[in-house]
Amino acid sequence: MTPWELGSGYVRVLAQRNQNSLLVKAANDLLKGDSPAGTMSEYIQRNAATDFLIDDEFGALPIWDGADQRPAVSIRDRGEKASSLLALDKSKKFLIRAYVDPVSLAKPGFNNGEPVWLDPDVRGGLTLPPANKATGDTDTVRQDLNTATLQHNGLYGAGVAVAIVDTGICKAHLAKRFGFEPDLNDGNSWTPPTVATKPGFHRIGHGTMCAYGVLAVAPNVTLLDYPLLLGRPAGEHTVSATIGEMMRGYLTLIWRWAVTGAIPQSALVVNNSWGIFHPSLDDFPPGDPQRYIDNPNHPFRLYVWLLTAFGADVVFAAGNCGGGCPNAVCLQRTEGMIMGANAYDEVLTLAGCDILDARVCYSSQGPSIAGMPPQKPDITAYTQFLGSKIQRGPRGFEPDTGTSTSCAVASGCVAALRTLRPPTATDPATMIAVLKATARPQGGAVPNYDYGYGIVRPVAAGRSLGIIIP
Amino acid sequence: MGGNWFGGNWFGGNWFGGNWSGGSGGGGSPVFAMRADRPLAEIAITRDYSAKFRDAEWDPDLRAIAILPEFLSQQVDGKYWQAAVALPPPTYPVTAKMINEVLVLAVAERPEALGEIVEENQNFQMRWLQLLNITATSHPHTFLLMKIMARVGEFAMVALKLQYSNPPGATAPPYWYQPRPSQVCPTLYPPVQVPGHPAYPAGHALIGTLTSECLADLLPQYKEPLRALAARVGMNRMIAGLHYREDIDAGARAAVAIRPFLQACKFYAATFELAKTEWQ
Repeated sequence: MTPWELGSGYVRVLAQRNQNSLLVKAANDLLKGDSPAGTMSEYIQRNAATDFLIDDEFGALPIWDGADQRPAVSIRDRGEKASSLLALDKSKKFLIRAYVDPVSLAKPGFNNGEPVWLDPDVRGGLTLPPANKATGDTDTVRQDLNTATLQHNGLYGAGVAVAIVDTGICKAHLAKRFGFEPDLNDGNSWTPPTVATKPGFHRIGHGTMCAYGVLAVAPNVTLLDYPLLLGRPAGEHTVSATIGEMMRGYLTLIWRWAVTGAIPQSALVVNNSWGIFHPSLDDFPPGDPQRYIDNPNHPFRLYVWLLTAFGADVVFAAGNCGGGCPNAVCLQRTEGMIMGANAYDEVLTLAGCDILDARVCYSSQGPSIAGMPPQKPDITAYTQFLGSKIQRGPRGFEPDTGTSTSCAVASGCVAALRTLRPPTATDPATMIAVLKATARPQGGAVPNYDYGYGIVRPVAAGRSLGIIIP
Repeated sequence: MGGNWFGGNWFGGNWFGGNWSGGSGGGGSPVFAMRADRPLAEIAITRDYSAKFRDAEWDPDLRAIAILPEFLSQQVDGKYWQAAVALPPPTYPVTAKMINEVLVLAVAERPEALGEIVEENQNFQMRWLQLLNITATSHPHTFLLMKIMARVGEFAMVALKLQYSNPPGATAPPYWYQPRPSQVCPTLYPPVQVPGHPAYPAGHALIGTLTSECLADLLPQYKEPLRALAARVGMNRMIAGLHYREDIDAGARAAVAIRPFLQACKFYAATFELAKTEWQ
């Protein structure tokens, strides 16, 4: 399958289809770790259309009653009830990935009137230019966060799983840097089928930097390696992952966390130091319901919502397009650059500051892109410190930079707090509220669009939660 | 005028289409100048008046050019190739979105892709030879087949690029064509010289996809990597700032449409059969 077989231009979309035994089977294949291509070939044979090319490798993803419908679930429903509520054969609607002719797509009644959404390119945050000097190191970050007090109170992150949704982890590098062997669960990690390397054995890079940020605060967490940013649509003109790949990984997480209970830890934190770089990467014009960047009803939202509804904390980086020194990839655009999932209500969105508490000039500012909840970022965490040493520059190791790093540090803070406060006791929304309420206000009136509610203070949050005795 | 002649290394002429060099063989004998004061000509040797220039001695680069009249005269489903390709016109004026997409790629992907971009600028068919572990000597018919694809692809590319002059509507000369992205936005700074022909459709995508699709007929076991390679080579030209996304998509689509015309050519079909024997 190649999209240019269409004989026209193409848009890569996630298309809603009614339940069909083959789609149920394809979703099941995916969750079992098998290729859904065989099952999908049969589906494609029966549903062939000249202006609609279905990606058989992608399989099918359940969206139950539809992308804008929320199943009645609660944190305590994990296990049997979730298994019954989310059973694949109860999903009335499924998503498939397809390449479609843009002219056909614009016609009324396309896809039998069922909705279609963009499956856009997404990428991990870029390491910033070497001119950005470190303002401290891992120890100074730990001092600022007061991890000694966290650990004195047993908040090491033990019994907490942290999924690093990124470019993959190099466990040996982390072991070398920390001097201990981090816990990484291979069985509960998931690797896109187009990726050859195995969990914990990926090339040293962005994902390893994020894992480092988490471990620097919560050393005893169990890492789950989700190198979804390495996944690519097979045989297409693209070099990056897409939201569709993210959805496949998220479905796996939902399944293991909520349905099968394969993730045995008492809490799950999902670190997302990635996003869509620029509005030009959304193929549809503003206002189009098929868009991703400013559409709270894109189906990815359902998956993010499900994870949080079952008690997982989903943490996102705000982005590196702040006024002052936006990353080159922002093309000088600094307004409304918190886009897509990074701006969802359910997620904790991170700005970045250096260890002197000054906002780093590239940290994306609110308000979010029009159409999404405007009050973002939520809080701020540390970045711009000499930490993971994943990259060597002309003057030695480069600092860990970007809101990617602050996101990981915040995920570490959440994981530390979750050691003694599982989601059954404090749901993710309450955890976000506590983190906001206990943050050190910064930047004038609070909340503001630079720091959100301020700089994260995990010890204050722990006190507020009653797990750190004053 | 032996094999692998390079008509001067100026861009626009000697680029990547048919005239790519592919390792040893198929290019005539080695050349050594004979000293004038001690020629060997005075030595009487047995002359071979029945000597023949064998088919195998043909420079495949030139031999492949013979496909063109045959290709041009082919009809499939009652259409000549250009009617079957039927590419829509390029988007003109170029939009901010088109340029931004290329700029984002230039920033985000070019550092990693630079090595490939430079290597693939000329003679990019070497990538295919490497994938298949072949040379002109080890697999001469497969090599000639690739030259045929390249010659047809090169010709089709030029014809299709010429097809869209004065994009918004045909007006009188002087002609102009879809600008390269760096003509719209010079800070794209392509890391290789901007070719001497317009942007739409992309030649690398066209010839690369044609090569991969045709070789996949010969070697179905390599279908996936062949396609991925063509997609990569096409995409690298966009990362280089030489093409918009619609250029590479159009190039690839043109290749898919051209393939049946090539298959209908006797020269191609005969070479294909001979190439098959090299893989048994």
